[in-house]
Amino acid sequence: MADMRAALAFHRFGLGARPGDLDRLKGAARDALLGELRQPPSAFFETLKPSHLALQDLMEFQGEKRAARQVAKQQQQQTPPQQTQAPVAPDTKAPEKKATTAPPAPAKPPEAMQPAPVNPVPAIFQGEMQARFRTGLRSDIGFRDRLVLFWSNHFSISAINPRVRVLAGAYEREAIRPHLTGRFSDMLLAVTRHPAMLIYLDNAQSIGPNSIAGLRMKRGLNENLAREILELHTLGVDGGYTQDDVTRFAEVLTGWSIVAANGQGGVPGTFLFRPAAHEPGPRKVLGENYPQLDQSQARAVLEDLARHPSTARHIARKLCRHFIADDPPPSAVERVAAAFKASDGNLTAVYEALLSAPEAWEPRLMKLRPPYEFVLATLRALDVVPEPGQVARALQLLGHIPFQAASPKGWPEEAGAWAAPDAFKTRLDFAEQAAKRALRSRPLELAQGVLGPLLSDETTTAIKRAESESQATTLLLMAPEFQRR
Amino acid sequence: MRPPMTKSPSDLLTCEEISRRRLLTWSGAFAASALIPAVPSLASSRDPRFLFVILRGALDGLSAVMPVGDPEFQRLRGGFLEDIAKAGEPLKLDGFFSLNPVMKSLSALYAKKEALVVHAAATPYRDRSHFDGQEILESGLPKAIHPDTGWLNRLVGHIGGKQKVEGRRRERGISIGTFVPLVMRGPAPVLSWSPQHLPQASEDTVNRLLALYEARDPMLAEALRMGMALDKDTRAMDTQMQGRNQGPQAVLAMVEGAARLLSKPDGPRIGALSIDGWDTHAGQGPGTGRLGKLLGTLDEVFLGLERGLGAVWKDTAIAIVTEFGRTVRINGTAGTDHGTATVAFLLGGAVKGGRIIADWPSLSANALHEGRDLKPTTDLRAVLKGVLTSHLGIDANFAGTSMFPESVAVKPLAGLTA
Repeated sequence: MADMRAALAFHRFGLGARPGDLDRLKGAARDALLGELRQPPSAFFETLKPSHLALQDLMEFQGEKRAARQVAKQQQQQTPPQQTQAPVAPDTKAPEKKATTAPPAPAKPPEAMQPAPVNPVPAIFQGEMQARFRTGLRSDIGFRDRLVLFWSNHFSISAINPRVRVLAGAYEREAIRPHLTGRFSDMLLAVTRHPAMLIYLDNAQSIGPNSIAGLRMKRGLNENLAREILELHTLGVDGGYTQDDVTRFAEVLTGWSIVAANGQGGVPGTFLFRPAAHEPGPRKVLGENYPQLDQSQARAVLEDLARHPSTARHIARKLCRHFIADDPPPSAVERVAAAFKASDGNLTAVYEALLSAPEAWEPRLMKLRPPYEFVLATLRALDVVPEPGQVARALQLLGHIPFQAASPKGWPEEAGAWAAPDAFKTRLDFAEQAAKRALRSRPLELAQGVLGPLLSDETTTAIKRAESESQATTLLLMAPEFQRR
Repeated sequence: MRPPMTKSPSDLLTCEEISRRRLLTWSGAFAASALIPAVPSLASSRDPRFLFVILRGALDGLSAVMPVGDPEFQRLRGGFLEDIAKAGEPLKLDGFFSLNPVMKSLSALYAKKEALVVHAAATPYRDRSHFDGQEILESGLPKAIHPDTGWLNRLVGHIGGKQKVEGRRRERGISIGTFVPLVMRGPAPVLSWSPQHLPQASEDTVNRLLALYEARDPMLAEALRMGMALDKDTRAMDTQMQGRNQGPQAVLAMVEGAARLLSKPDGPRIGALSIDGWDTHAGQGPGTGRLGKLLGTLDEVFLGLERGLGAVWKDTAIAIVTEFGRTVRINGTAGTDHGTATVAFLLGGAVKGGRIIADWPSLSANALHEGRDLKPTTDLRAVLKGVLTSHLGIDANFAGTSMFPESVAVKPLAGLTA
């Protein structure tokens, strides 16, 4: 029988065990978790487009749509109404129609019938989500995936805007994944510079009022990104900043933008610092003076925010909240915050501290698996490859579509938010469908295999007494020890 | 009353915490029914409904209900007027305020005296974080201390979380949508519903699962039990909800569901739902752009509620609020940033509408809050207390000490409902 730490490694820190995983785990659980972080990137990502090419595709599509509209407009103006060319017997029954409605079959076809331009966004987004999900299904333990989910939610973007949607998957792969084990300030910088974030929080168009561009056009400052960096990404809402800091920081961030489709300044769709939009002059943020004249001004502020003691506490609390309990034990938070500070934000050290906390290995399962994790854990346990669209549909019904959190705060953590009676009933319906589609396996063996010592006597009894294999499997998937982690 | 949980040696769940909470639920309900005198409106033939709608993201009140009579309005919001004009003529409410042209249903309700507008209102919160602002709106507390219960749940618990209808005990409160908003979270159990369409799990499976939960995880047992009860009510409705799960359609499906559930004789009486998307930092477009479309959907929501509630509309009061407003000046990206005072709406047949409650502070430079926002002159809690005391018969003492703690000094506005 596999030991408790092995079970918790998969269950609390990973995406859930697949059959045989618990027995296969050799060596210390903690080392296995940290070791997973050093593996090479997922092969599923190899064929995906980098963000600037995805954005270029969208820019091209938008350009084509504009051009098509122009052509249509010109044709309307040039071709007179067709009624005079193709005489049609007046239809006395039909009501009088205005001349601008579609004329009867025209005498000659319109100029150069172009095929309608194809919107690249759905295919790109779906491709990214599939790769992401498949990576999760195939991961050894899933600790790396869980950390990516954590950070992606921490630096949440919302894919409602098509320009953000086309970038969402690439954003996670480019700004989050490569920095998972590096310094927090590196991830913070990568996220802040990424076109997805600059678009999502309106910074790409934010202009310093006294900059060259600001004085010329009547456009100006947008505080959104500055505020969310302070409130959500670094210090936290009680971290000790003021409205003044928000405005000053917003001024510092002006000019952080993106190369447009015309390619002026660089490769379209990549980060561009626009000096003409940058608010000139030194700025004071959180009591520090920043005299730099270019993008290094904002970089310096970000470095200092990453070092701020409130940031260490904020991140530590969120990490412990995600992995341990909705109300995380203060001793664990202290330990992780101390490691953050002592290592100057080295995330490997931070994870090591988290995994060293005795509270993190408590057998009591305190957290509720959110739908995305529940669906992954289910498919891993059943060893099922889902049909295309099936996962997307399930996530939609369960209300947990990737990159669709309603606000920059991301998805909620607390059980109370996810355990709404209706949502919970939907989980059961999903579990039953999944259980029915799974290959025949012996449910009790399966339960022991994926849960090990976490499996309770009551669930064992329920499985044994089930009227069918699929019902037994459903009960396993909905058991408290499978729903919680 | 269930016996307290016993811990087994291999126990792996937070039984202590859960059982304590469970006891709270039960004792709460007993305490409520023992101490609270017969609530007048509930004991009488009238069967009031209350719906709380949260617009998340900070609605720009000045675009929804425009103070056209203020001499500064034209100058401050001139940049938006062209887009508003594209949407049509502003709908006059009185000599000073006009509605955004897309809000035709609201205008009609106002004319029928079934809609009331409150302007320059705000909670006691004076910072500008969405999350703290919403928390204060929903927790009912004067400060953001990250609690896990909301004032509407306290109200539901106070008037008796469960009501006896034809001998069956049914939950009185309901949350609409996938997440239970903070305002509805707490010890009083509430139903939840959102449009869905998966094949239903078999009843036998459900019962077995319920038995398993009851032995090991009371919180999940509660969730499942209520989910099942709701299933029976809504199975008919769900088939009509197919394919309506994007954008405005999803919002309208949610609202339709809310209306139908609240109008059922044996259904819940107090509901909460949220509509997202109001954070218009850039390209606000209050006429035909992003905000214009949102307000158009909101207007359809109002119509949908009136229609959906049908016969019980006359007994309904709906409060539509947002966490705070937006800057009076347009920002550098044709949008607005976070502000303070804003608008709130009260709708329903029970509302004494056809008027605007606004102690207008003016938009002149020295009258603005911190030089940038509309100054609040009405405490939103006074509005909510006013509705709930007269409509649901809540006593002012409960409202000022438990429902909205430390708000005794905030007097409920009188005469908001019939």
